[in-house]
Amino acid sequence: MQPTVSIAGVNHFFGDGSGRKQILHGVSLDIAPGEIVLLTGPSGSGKSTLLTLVGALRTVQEGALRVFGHELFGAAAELQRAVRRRIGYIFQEHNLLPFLTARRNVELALHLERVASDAGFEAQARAVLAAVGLDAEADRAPATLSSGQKQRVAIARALVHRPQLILADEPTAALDRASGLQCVQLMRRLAKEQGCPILLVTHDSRIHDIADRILRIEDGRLLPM
Amino acid sequence: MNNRRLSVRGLFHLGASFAADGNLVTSHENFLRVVPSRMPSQIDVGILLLEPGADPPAVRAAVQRLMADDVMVVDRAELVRLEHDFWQNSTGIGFVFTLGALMGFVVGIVIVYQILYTEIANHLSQYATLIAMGHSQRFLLAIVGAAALILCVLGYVPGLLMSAALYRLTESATFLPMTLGLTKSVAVLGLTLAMCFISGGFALRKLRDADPADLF
Repeated sequence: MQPTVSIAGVNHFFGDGSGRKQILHGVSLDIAPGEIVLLTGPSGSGKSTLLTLVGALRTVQEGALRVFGHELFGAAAELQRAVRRRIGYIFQEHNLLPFLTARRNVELALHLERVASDAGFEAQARAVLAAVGLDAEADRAPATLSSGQKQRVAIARALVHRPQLILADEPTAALDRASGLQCVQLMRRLAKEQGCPILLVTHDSRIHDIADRILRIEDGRLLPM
Repeated sequence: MNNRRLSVRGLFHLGASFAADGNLVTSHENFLRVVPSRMPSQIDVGILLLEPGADPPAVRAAVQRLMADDVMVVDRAELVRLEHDFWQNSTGIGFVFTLGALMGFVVGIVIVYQILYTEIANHLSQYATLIAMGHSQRFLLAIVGAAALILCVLGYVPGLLMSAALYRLTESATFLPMTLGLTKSVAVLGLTLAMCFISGGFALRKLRDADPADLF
């Protein structure tokens, strides 16, 4: 079976000239469909950089990086956008729009071409909010929700368009133990239901047990496990 | 006037213009007595009064045939247009006003750009989230465009009221005739819209050129 993500010999640099610093050193990694991969490592190790490269949010500088079979090295903006649409992204901060209700924030992931909404979107958004246990909070503004609830809205937003890959960057960093665990278990359950792999960057050891595979990255090098 | 005693027989209301501070209406005999340097053959503008029922275009064509080539026979509306064009295009005043309006437009673009750019910078991570979800530049442009439209309308209404007050103030202070007509107001609204959308486009360029990952 073709891996969802296939990374081969990726190098990445920040800065120019004498200030140029290598962030990733020849990283190679495959992620199979349905697999939950945890990426750990100290801050500055390059794990978030790798995640944003996979999410087509950063230009690939050296090496081969295929997502859903599409080569992202030298990819045009149009292809990058097409790949992004098939990914559900969960950030460290929930990044919800404060002037939209929870449901409208989730719907935002559905209408990618039009600003206008429709009833079908609303039903989908409500269904996925119910799946994360927030059916009663659907019409509330993000400011009135707890941080755990906000992150669950963000998870609902990342899942509502049935992505084929979930990327999560420190999703539990802003949460206490209980809501952090609840969030990752929710992600795991929904991902397994949809058969969608997860690449999760974290240095939160409390959530290690949800992983199928744990990778460690240090100084931009993937350590053998 | 000019060492002649004149008696004023009546008053009429007409403001100052760029060429004269005041106006006096008199017969051509009196005019030639007061201004002896003018030859009776030197006529700048003459008025033809038509009999009721006469056909103005036909009379105009007939009179034009009788006149030398350097005489223009025009109707009232055309005279107004000719005067307007003269002041607008052939004198320094018109140029200064056009330049002033143009500068206002450019300064407006810069100010609105600053406002929109600050607005985008304050919500950068939210814009980056939209990009990460795969939203297109068109979608972001629609959002910034909506912000620009709100700015435009909010700025236009008080701007229009202030302009109207300023017009009245200028009119009472200088006696220059000032009119803020519908055409002018609509044209300014159009320019304000253009100004806001151009600024919005510029402000969004910053967002387009960066890697989305650098925006969080």
